[in-house]
Amino acid sequence: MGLYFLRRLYQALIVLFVVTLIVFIILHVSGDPVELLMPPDATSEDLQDMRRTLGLDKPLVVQYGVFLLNAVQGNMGISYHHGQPALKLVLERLPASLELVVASMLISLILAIPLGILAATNRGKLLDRLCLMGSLVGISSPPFWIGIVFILVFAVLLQWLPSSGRGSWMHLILPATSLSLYRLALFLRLIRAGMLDVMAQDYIRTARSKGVREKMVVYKHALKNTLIPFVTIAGIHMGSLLAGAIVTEKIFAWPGMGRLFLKSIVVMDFPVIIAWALVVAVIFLVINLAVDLIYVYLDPRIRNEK
Amino acid sequence: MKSEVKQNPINLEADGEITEGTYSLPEARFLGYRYIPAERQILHAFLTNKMVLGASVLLLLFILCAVFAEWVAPMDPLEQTLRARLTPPIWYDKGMAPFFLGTDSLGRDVLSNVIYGLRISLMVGLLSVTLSLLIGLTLGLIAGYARGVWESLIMRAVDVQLSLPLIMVAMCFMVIFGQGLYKMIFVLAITGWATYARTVRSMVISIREKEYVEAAHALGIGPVTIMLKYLLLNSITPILVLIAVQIPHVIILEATLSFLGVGVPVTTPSIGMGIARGYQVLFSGNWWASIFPGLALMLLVGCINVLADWLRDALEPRSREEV
Repeated sequence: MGLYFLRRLYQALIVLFVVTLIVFIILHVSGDPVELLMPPDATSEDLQDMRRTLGLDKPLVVQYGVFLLNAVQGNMGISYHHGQPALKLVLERLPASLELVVASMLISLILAIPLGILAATNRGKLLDRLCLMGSLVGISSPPFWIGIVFILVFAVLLQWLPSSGRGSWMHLILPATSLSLYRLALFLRLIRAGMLDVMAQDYIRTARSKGVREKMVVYKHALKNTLIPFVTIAGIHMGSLLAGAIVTEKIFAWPGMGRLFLKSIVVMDFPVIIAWALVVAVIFLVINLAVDLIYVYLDPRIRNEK
Repeated sequence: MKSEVKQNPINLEADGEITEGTYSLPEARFLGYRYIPAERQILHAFLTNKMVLGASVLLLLFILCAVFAEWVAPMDPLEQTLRARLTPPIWYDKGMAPFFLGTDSLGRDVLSNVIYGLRISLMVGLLSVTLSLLIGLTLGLIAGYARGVWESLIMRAVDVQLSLPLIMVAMCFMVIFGQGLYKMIFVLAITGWATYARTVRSMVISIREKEYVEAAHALGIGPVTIMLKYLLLNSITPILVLIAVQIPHVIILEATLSFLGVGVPVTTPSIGMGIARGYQVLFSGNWWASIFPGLALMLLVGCINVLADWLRDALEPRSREEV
């Protein structure tokens, strides 16, 4: 168990290292931020001075080495645009993004699991068909467009909810719901398919034939075994939602790190872009690692192997 | 229970063999079962499923519109008619003749933009999925067949690729290369290969120990032939399903990137860009410019998803037997 964990941790670190390398190289061959930073009438000496102060005149390998050393200490450079530490800028906006992601994840899970179970146990009936139809619409609509429809209906036409900014829980409703629909639809399908798969297994027949009540069969025997593989998928989606929230943050003017990233890309603010990418990658890796461990813990076949 | 088996007699014949415990073919005929080959069953299921049939017809319509956009679209999608700015759809009192779905803030026809945009969406979807499939197939086959160093190298690359949020990678690449249709196809292709590589590798690993592959080895058949003829052909089903699932993903990703302004250039009419332009005028109540492109995209992706679901059910016998 400990060895397994160490191996996964080692893998995650390698992935992280490669990620930093790729992000660094890609961003540094992409353009010269100095010309964007300085006023248009700056002389070439001024530009050269600026490059020197930012450390952009050194060879790439040296720049990367310096960057990596600093990154390990939590220093990812000063934002060219804001003049503040890049990591600080990103981390300041992390709570807002997390709030959005966690809320939308909760909505997806709270609705998807019961609906998935109901659809599976009422297979072929009206409820099942409605669920399938709804989930088809959900996985087929681009999340940013759903956000726009929501703004149009609930903010412009009905004027029930605010369309932008962050503040009260009212502000959270539209962005979180519009971000959750795709996952809600996807999870519903996965839970339904998983339940149907498990319900066809021999142990379910055994449970039924020994007289276990149907409710117990569904909720104890079937649901438990459906949820074990589902944990992995939900975890991965949680991580990727952090990046996927970019569009939602843009539409609803949500002050999260996705919006910061979008703005930084326009002005080529390398330190912020790298800091964002690393923060997202680290959170993604940590969640995946945690999910792996939970999976091992939940599945007694793997847990008792050693 | 028995009547269900009668309607679904595929259980009778698995790979042309009658398994022990089921009826022999003459016996089955005598009992009133009819043997229908798998292809005909799939065709039959296709023709009797109204939803699938409707989705295919609609998808075909979309494809035709996209291919013949020049003839179908009422206007040039980029032509600005400034006196007709923000014209509402035709059923409004203020609606005007050639602008069936209204115009955007620069007086460009929304319907024409949607039709030309569908062409871009379909093109990006098909081309980039084909490209990433080629990359993924090759690397997956090598990883599964050669094992050793190559496998760990390729699989680490897959890990890295999958540990980066796709949209972030694509955005960074687009910022570096600049906007462009072919750049976009290329970027989506090199960010999407990992899923294929992983699937192909796991398929190959499960197949490569089979007797017929060992037999091929023993007969002295070269590794390339074995890879292509035995390993690839036998893992075709999950790949087909994966393609059908990936195309809608890529189409939505393209629209997202174009919406964020890092996708296709401004001069290319695309759905994502159309929605972005419509979003700017949304708050003044001009809903048509952002809602119609999105609706078209949703229908297109929905049709492909219906077909993808059906394809999965039809091709993967485990889920077919359940029905």
